[in-house]
Amino acid sequence: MIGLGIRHQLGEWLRLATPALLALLLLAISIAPWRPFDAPLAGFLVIPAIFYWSLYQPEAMTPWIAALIGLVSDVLGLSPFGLSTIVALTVCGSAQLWRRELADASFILVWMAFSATAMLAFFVSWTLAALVLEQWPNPWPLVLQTVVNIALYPLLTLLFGRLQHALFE
Amino acid sequence: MRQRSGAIGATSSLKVWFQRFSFVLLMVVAFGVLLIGKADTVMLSRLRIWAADGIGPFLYAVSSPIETARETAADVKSYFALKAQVEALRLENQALQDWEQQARDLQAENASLRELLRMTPNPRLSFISAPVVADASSGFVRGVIALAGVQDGVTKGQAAMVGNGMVGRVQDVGNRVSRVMLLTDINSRLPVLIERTRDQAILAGNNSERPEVSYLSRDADVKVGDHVVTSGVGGAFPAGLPVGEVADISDGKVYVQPFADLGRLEFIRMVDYELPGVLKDDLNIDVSTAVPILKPTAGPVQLPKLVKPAHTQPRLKPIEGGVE
Repeated sequence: MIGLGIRHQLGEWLRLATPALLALLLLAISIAPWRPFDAPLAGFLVIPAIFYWSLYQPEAMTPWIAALIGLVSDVLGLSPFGLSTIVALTVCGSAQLWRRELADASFILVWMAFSATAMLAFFVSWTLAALVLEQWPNPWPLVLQTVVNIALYPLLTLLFGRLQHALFE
Repeated sequence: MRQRSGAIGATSSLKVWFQRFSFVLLMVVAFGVLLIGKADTVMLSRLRIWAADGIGPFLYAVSSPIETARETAADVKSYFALKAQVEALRLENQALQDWEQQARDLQAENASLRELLRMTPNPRLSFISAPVVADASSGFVRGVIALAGVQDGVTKGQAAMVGNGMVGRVQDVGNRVSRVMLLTDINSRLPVLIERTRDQAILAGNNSERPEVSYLSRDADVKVGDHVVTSGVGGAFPAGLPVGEVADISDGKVYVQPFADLGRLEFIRMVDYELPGVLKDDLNIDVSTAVPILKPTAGPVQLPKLVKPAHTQPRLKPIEGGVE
């Protein structure tokens, strides 16, 4: 009985950890040396993942988990240290702020909310990076990253939705 | 659904309050980390390389299938162009054979001239090859993580190359992995030389695909297409490693297109090079950090020109101080 209880508990933890692990896997894929779209886009799939799970399964993407994912990309050296954590928290906070309004909203509306969040993330990271680097960084890789994230969001929603259906419903 | 009993409502609002509190707390901590990170870069680079060391094999596991898929796609593409490729390779081979003959002639001539001048041989180079397991290039940094570290002989400051040119320098080394700062990174400063005119300068990265040549003397006659090579000033790199060619000159700024395709790095080679007995051993100075000393306080200054190759200098005339 006890063995079964532990197994059940472990299964529960794994279920809750899957969205975070998926975000980390997307991070690893985004920094593989393959340069999608021929541009420096390290870390580009992480923002949609944090947004989606913060919105639909907030117990699996708490601010702590989002901060941890941001910290991993900081440790990997993708941005000035601390910046990815702030961006991850911004995205998570933005999604949770709109949770009630977007609960039964149409996909188009959710997509627009995500686009706004992605743009907010762009402004936050660009201005903070300028403060840390003491010069305006080249905005184009960040603009491209934002555009790609927005464009890929429907596809990622499809993927995350399947996973959410299998794990949580 | 919305109607809840009092107890559940209280727990729920407590949960919301806790979540808001932790959100604010984490934000404050993250901002603190951002400030500390700006101040203490040594601790951070240690932390980063320690973490990269741990997850290096995992990154390799993720990057390998992606790499294989990319290679397979390229293979399929090249299969259809096989005939044309064979013909092109045949021609290239012919040209290379001519070059080889010329190289052999020049090598022999060079050896005899060196013998005549009793020149000391250049320090020997050796290479450490490593697969690139992560391309950590984003809007803020340009860098890669390679699977070779202290245990393979990599040390901080070594030059990293691919077949046709310089890629960057080793920024941090762990046991198994090393971080390489690409020469396009905003913090990259590389002592270079315009090959045709022998003008010295610093190649400064700017997070774009084309780094900029700075501290070039005002009367330097640089043209588009000029080759840029490492100058060897500072002792960190050997002189003469190919870097790139001048791609654009606009508003008095000179931009260089690196020879190496920095967006498609699969394998890199670390150049194991040390000037025998100079600086490092005698004075215990880390030569990899010696470059910023060259930075002037204001405006462009003329750097000392490189000593001309020995065969253009009469042997009997002593070279004073090693500069013109």
